Amino acid sequence: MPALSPTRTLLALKKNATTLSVILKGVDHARAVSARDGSDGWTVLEVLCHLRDYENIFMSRNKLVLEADEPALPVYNPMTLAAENRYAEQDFLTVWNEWLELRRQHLDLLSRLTPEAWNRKGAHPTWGIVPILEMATITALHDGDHTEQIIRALGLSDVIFA
Amino acid sequence: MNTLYTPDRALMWLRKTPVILSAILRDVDQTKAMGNRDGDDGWNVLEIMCHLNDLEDVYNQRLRATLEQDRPALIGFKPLEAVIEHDYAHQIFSDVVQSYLVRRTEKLRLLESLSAEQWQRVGVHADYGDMRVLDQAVATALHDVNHTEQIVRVLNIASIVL
Repeated sequence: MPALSPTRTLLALKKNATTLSVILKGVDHARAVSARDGSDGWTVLEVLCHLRDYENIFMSRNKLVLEADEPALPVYNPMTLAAENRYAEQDFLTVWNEWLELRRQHLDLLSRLTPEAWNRKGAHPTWGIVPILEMATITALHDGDHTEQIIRALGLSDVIFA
Repeated sequence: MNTLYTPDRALMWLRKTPVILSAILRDVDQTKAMGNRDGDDGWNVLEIMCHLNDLEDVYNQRLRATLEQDRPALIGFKPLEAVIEHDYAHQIFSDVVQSYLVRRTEKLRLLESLSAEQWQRVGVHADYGDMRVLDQAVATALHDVNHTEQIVRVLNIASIVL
């Protein structure tokens, strides 16, 4: 199995959901809107809204790549999405369930791909020509990025690597 | 070549995954670490952390070889043999966690010092083939993800959500 492979990536996408569920154990809406990543950073609720919206974006990009030859991939501004989708006014539990459902759909899509389909590519204006495998792996690592952000917002770890 | 995987991103992920791990381990002591196993003959948390600690050392050796030699053969690692050779069952849990964090810090300091050209240097893995320094760094972060979720399952602190 190569260092980056569909099997490894699918496993990471499944596993991250379990790990995030542990980090969020005991967190209710009140805590999710009060725990913030720094004085002007996002709350836990806003981070989760970001993960939900990008799950949809990542999955939609993969669908585009499966349907067209090297399509142009749409890009979004996270801060604009936060304002447009009124992250601060969302319900924490609803957003969590929406993210889980999108992750299920995304996994279902990816788990049915042939080796050739995993290598189909899209054109990102910043990243260049990227295959589905690399975009899906980035999705898994993006989970980790924001899981760590949630941990910092909730004060759950003393370990910080500057 | 696209710019989806960059040294900056790889460094970010390598900084973040140990924070997630430390949050999961925050209430785990020696007794708890030696308790539940991942299935009847699977590893307990102490053994998983010993594995992560050993591999962090192997990964660091591979990185140094890749930086110092021309396309070196990357050293192998046999996880099950290491359990016996390094007497995982009798290690001190807190010492193992600390050693892993020190080794991760060493890795980060090494990688932070590299030029753009050095990130592209290649070592040859017996199973995976050519692996750039960048590939090795991303693979390490994905390996963290895998075992963090395994620890969550062994500790029985979350239901598997997907």
